[in-house]
Amino acid sequence: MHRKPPILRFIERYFFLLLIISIGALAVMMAMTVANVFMRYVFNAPIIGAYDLVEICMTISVYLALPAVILEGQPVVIDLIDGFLSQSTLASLKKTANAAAAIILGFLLWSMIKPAHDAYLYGDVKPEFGFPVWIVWAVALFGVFNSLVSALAAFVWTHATGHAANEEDSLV
Amino acid sequence: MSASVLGLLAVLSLFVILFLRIPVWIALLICGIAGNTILSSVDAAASVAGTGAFDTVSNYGLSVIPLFILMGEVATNSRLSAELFQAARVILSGLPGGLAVATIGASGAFGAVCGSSVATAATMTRISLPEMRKAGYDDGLAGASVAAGGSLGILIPPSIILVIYSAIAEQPLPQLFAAALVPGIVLMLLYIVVALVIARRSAEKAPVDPPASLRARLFALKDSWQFLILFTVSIGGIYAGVFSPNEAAAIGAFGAIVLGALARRLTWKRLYDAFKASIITSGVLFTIIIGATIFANFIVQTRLPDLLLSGAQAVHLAPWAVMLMIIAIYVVMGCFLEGIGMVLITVPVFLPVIMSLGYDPVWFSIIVVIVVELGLIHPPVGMNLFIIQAQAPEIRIRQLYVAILPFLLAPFGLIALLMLFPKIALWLPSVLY
Repeated sequence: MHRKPPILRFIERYFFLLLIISIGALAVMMAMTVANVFMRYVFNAPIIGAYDLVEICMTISVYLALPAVILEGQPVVIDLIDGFLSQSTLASLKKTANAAAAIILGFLLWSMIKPAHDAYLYGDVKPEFGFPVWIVWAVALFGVFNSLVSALAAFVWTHATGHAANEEDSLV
Repeated sequence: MSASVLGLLAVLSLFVILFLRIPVWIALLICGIAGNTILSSVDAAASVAGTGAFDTVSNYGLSVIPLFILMGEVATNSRLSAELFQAARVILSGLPGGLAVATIGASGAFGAVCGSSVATAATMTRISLPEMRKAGYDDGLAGASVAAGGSLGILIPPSIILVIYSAIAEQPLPQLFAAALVPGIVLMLLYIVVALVIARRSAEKAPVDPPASLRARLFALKDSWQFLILFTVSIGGIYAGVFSPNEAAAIGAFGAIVLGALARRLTWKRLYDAFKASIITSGVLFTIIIGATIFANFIVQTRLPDLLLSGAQAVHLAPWAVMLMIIAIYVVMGCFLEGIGMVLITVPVFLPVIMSLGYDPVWFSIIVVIVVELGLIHPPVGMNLFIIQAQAPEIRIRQLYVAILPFLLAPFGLIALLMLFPKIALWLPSVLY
């Protein structure tokens, strides 16, 4: 059992906080959709901006959950060769996967900056209640940045992160 | 090098990268971004990646994914499945193989509010497996019944795979849900037939439960009212055109919370667990969808599906032969690929070919789900079998491999039925929409 360094424990707590916000966003998403249906059928007055709010909440919910998902090693991996490899080779492959994730997330972060800046520059707003789109982009960038930190942490502390294989390895 | 060949190379590279344990979503992004860079430029690849990653996650239509997952998680955490199983057990008491049939029936019913095969199998393993073993059932038959029943979770609506298929194939979700209902029921019946035949031929494998009185059976029916309410309101609401799938998912999740709280089965801790599990699963799913969106964008530009189609035409293959080849590829891939990853990688390549051959994309969605189901129960991998074995380590995996074999006849039989009678899937959508 590897003892977790204090900085990794801090990062985990920080990502847990983001996860709680993400859970809150999902709850709001559900409540807003139910309330919209209720208002539409009972009072014939659907909530203006309900669709926009659901989209915003979904962005918050997915992007803020991503760092915890990556740090806990939850993304789906094809582990067919595990039984044929030594522990050291397996550890090297895990490290390589974390490095690849960090590089790709770095590229994603860089590629999202321009469209986010454009949304700010041209004053894009959500169609129903005029919420500035650049703020939603900022949330997405924040999430990708934290995911990059998460991938780097998983790369540096490969042995101390990740989870044991279980039923969550399959999504269906 | 032509664009199509580049596409083919990208698909092959994708498999190599996947085998090297790179997470599926990162592998899809690597191939998609590298492919777009070679085909166009780094700026073009960045533009596709940046906007694709944002647009996918802020797409209202996809809000159905976390909400249906939440509905399933709440139903799981509030132990709705336990009541379903007990009701089915009492109703089917006295029937040889009754407990195995009850397991399959309760799994199918639970799948109607859950949407995940793995969650259904994991839940039913905890509930029905100990009961079957206590009743003297053969371990293999008990485990295989749970595995087969569990696989119904992704075919009977709501199905997360169908939601994802709907997004990438641009097919209306209500039609897909309608198309899945009859094949889902047929598959459940086929599994039941297999269990009954095994029980009849080897009575020692499935001792008969003492029959309950008619009154007890009728009384047991009322225990499934919560499931009936959830299914009728959410999925029935979609079929009736009262709600959009997103609204049905939100109402289903909310309804499951209210029902769980009213029955005092859903504590704050369980509610938190349900939300957390939903968020984690949704996060994983969305990463794969982002990767697949960018990879699919590249594949479309390479016109790889056109190359495959012209190849099939050059060797004068009949459409049904191409279809059989595609099914065979899916069955083989199901041995080692995770279901949703497999769908996201292959549908952008195969769907244009299928449509060019005159097959209906709604019908094809059901075939895809059935082959993914097969992947969950057929050796050598079969995720459902591993889940059962992980929770009941005293049952050997080899026992499960042998016991599941007769149950594999059911999905293969259903595929054959769907090839011969496509109306099994297409009838309900044609009536409703």
